Amino acid sequence: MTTTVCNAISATKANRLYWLGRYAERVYLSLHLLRKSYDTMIDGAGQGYLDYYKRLDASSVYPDKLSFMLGYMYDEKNPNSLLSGIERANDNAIVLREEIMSETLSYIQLSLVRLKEAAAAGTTNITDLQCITDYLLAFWGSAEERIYDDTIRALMRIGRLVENIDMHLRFDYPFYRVKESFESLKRCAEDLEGIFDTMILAHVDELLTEEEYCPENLEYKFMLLKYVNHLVLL
Amino acid sequence: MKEVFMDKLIESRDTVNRWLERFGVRFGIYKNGTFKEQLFPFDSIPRVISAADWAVLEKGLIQRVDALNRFLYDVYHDKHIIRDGVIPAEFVYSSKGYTPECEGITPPQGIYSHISGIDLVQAKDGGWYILEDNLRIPSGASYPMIARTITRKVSPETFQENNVVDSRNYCELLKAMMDHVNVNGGANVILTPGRYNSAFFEHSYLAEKTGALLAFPGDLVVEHDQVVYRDMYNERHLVGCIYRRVSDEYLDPMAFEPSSLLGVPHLMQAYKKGNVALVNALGNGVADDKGIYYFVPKMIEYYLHETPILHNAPTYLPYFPADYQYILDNLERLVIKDVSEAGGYGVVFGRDLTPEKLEELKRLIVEEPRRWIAQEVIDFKDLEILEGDERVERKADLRAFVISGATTEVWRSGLTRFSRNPDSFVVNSSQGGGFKDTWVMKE
Repeated sequence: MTTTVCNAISATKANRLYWLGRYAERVYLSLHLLRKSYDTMIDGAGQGYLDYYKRLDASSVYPDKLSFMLGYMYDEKNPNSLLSGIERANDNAIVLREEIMSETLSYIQLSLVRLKEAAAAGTTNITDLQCITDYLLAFWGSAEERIYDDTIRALMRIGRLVENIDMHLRFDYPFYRVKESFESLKRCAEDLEGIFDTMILAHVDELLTEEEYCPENLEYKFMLLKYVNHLVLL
Repeated sequence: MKEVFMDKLIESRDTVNRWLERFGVRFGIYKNGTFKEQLFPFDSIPRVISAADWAVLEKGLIQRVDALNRFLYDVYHDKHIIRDGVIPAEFVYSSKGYTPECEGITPPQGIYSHISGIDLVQAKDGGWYILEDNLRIPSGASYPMIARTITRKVSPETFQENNVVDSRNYCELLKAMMDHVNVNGGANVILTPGRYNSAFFEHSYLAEKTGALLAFPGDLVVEHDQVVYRDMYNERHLVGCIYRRVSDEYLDPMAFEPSSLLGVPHLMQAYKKGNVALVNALGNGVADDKGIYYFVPKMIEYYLHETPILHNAPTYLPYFPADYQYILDNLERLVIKDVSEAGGYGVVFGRDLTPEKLEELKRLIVEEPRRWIAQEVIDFKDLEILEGDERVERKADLRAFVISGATTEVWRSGLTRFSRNPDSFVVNSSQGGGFKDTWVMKE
């Protein structure tokens, strides 16, 4: 019997692809932001970390620089830690092997294994985690290279862009950085019907102008964050 | 074997294990109610089977699986084998695997056991013995398959210099079989219970390599007696074949266990109407029951009119008066198996029991003779494994995979599992064992 090659993606898998993209990007950006925070802590009273977790609505409060570094790297109970993020990315990736291919999955696995090894060794020097950044970049490269299904790539990319906007907003990135990601996201919306709440998309579009953009205004920032996090209907 | 090139492969054990880790090659176990994923340790010294030995094994395995498929058809249709007194009726009807709901159903192409995992051991005299037949959801082929892919990359010279049959075609065999039994040209699907199943790696890897859809509970629905896969836009895609990795009892809550959330409601209805192929078929448990195992050589003679090529381990059934007395008199040197257990559980070596425990076991056998089988302890041929950097010998078995589609074929490799415990005969991965590649030689 000649059988149909079926590339159908269930609603559950679509959701997982989206969250895989989000978590992979969260870990990637967290590493970047932790490196910046690490640098800030070199000077002055070393209190730069306080700003970091305030921006993430974090409930975990660490009393000093060392516990902050360990907590944001390896505390599995802290949903904003690198280890939590990569574990959640892996939870999604491991059930998507046939969609993303073993090679793409392997970069998430490698990140998880190396991060656990670093946790066991109590490594706090952020430069020792450069390999995780490299693996995550390779993960996206592998996805681009090996996944031929446009919908799968688009769903992961949507997750990545939503997370990118979310994190950049939280850390008061300049307008053009947030806008660029949002424009990319809108192009994805044109390719994938029914994925976005069009009303929310229009609201974000209205709020995200050079004149309006003011992440220092917390009311503005939280409204935008709320919209961005409710944009995708998966 | 070209020793120099073998050494290179053997030295690469840690490298191969790192590659396996990188690809997420794990299996899950539940310990004290907690799920844990762990690596399945790979040993780089392969089990080597000569072309001549393999020819005998291949012929014997095809013969055995063909007979088992004939038995399954017979037992759910005319029951000649029972009427002719070859197998006592109560062995069939009291088997946990006998499924009355399958009476009269002929699966697509008449095949019941599409993927058969036959466990064998090699005795010290070189002879092979069948330990058990796994005809429901035999697992394990993916581990040697991916290991071979990696070892060929890590040590190409070894394969260049040795005439090893390329075993990377397992998924081609699987796909060809699924296409053969597919009833309507719809999608081939692998149905998994989910990530927390011990063999989830295998489910996802086989889906990737066969191009089948990996379906989770809830992805499949039955509409108008057809099975469909629902996509993210709620569009329906017809399904023609389901390689299900969900046990019979959980497969359809309307027909079997009503509390099951793992199955597809009304699947049995679609199956009965011939609108979907199930790989393996429902009801196969009756043929891989440890009690029925005793009768497989008789099935070969009965259905195929041939002499069995491969032998069972010498087995006794307490059900038969002569065996009953023999078992009670020799319990301390036999291995006793509870027919309702699997995965290496329910296996007791008489020699390991205290006099009190032996008496207790005797009492259980007297109370429920149908629940037990007894076997002579086969003196397995030990295989070398690496323990640290040292070579030591350990017990090992071989799970051969037989694929029944347009023809019956044996995959030219298999899963060699070994015990890491020097005193143990139990090789199951769930009990801490490791695995090796199985080399079948070209000449």
